[in-house]
Amino acid sequence: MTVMEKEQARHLRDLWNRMAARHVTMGAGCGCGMMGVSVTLEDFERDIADYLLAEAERLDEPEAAALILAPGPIDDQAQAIRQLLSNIEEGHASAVAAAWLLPRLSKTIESFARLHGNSG
Amino acid sequence: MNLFSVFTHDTGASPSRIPILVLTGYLGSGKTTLLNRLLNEPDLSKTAVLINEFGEIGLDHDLVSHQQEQMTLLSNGCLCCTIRGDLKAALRALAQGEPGRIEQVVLETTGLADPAPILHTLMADPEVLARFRLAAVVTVVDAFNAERTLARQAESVKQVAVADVLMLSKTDLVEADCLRRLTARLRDINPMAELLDAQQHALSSLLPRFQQARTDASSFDEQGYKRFAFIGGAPSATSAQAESDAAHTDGIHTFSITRDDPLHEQGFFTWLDMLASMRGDDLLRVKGIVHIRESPDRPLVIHGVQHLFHPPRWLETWPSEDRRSRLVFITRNVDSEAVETMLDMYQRRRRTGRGLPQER
Repeated sequence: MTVMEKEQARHLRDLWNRMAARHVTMGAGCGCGMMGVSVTLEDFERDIADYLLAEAERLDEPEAAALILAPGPIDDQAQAIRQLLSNIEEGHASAVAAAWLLPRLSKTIESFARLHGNSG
Repeated sequence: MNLFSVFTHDTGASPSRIPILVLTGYLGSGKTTLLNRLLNEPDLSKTAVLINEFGEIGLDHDLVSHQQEQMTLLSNGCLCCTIRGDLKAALRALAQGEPGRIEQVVLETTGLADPAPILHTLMADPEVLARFRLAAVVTVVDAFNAERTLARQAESVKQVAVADVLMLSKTDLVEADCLRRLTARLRDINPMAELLDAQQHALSSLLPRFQQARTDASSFDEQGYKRFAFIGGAPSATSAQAESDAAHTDGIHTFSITRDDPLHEQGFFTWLDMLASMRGDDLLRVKGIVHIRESPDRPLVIHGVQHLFHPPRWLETWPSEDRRSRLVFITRNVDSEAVETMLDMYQRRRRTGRGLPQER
């Protein structure tokens, strides 16, 4: 793993940390009386991890899949994406896993950020 | 978590709900002239007219030739909350009248209005939905002044963006080059709308609109989609994302998403709900026909204005041989690549811990 990859993992973890606590109100009306369901972006972490795992298995990337599952099954992970990024940042990822995961993590997290009005 | 809340609820009300045609357009565009022409049609004699005016003293209603008892003035139209209350009260009064007295409603908005709050009331209020249905949004565009108005007035851009029909007025006052430029600009903002000359096609085009729901198969205009999809070049075989030539200075941005492979139902609805929740204010218009993997023979039609969507409609059959999912977005400062990335994420994940959409 390169220093640049560790640095990228740190940047993405910082970006996600800033966004994770923000609330999104699903289906809220703008004063027309409809109620919404309030969630945080953190609630989407398992979806992102599950997507990455499905892709890793589909594209036969066992090292990436193993790293995603290192803390346990995705549904049992409280902060799946932050844990994954920490593992990369701390050098626990193989070069192959980091090279495969970081571009995908970057694209997904930055897409969340752009849609949520934060370009990071 | 209860998702798919983006969709308004289908009340299950009578299929004979009274159609409402919303007539909008900037100040002086010719809405009242068009309204008078419509009201002179014998087939529209049982039409109630609601006029939403701006200011202390309404004027437009005095210019409309119609029976006074079938015309209601909604005052102070610049205040969204007020107009919603007035509109609901007016529709409630119409609904309580003698059955059959009213066969359709035309709602003329003030030229200064952002039409979205009015549409939300028509799309989402259970009391309104029980008796009425939104048939179409017709935006009158003054060909002589529209370029300047669109450049300066954000509301006028939104009026164009939400239209099902763009009715050009005063075309006899402009040169052919100006008209071509304006047409291109309107197509840029809203490639899905039917674009017509008020002098030539107004009545023949608008009368059938009362008979169809906004989410009918025919309302997903195949030609309109193709017209848009080829802006900026031919679409690729797998992802026909097409974007308008350049971002407008007002941030209005149109793009489409095409998917050859059917979409997973839960992933699609979760994605749409999340998108509407995060960027609802900036989704000026979303319209699409979707191939859902779990229902391959029945396409799903979606239709939304900002964060609110009509109840999704499952059609009995595909309207053409083209069975790709096709979605068109008219947005303000929304990153299309991010939208597509999120769709891909929700299509490829395997968790299904989300709720279910409307019954089919």
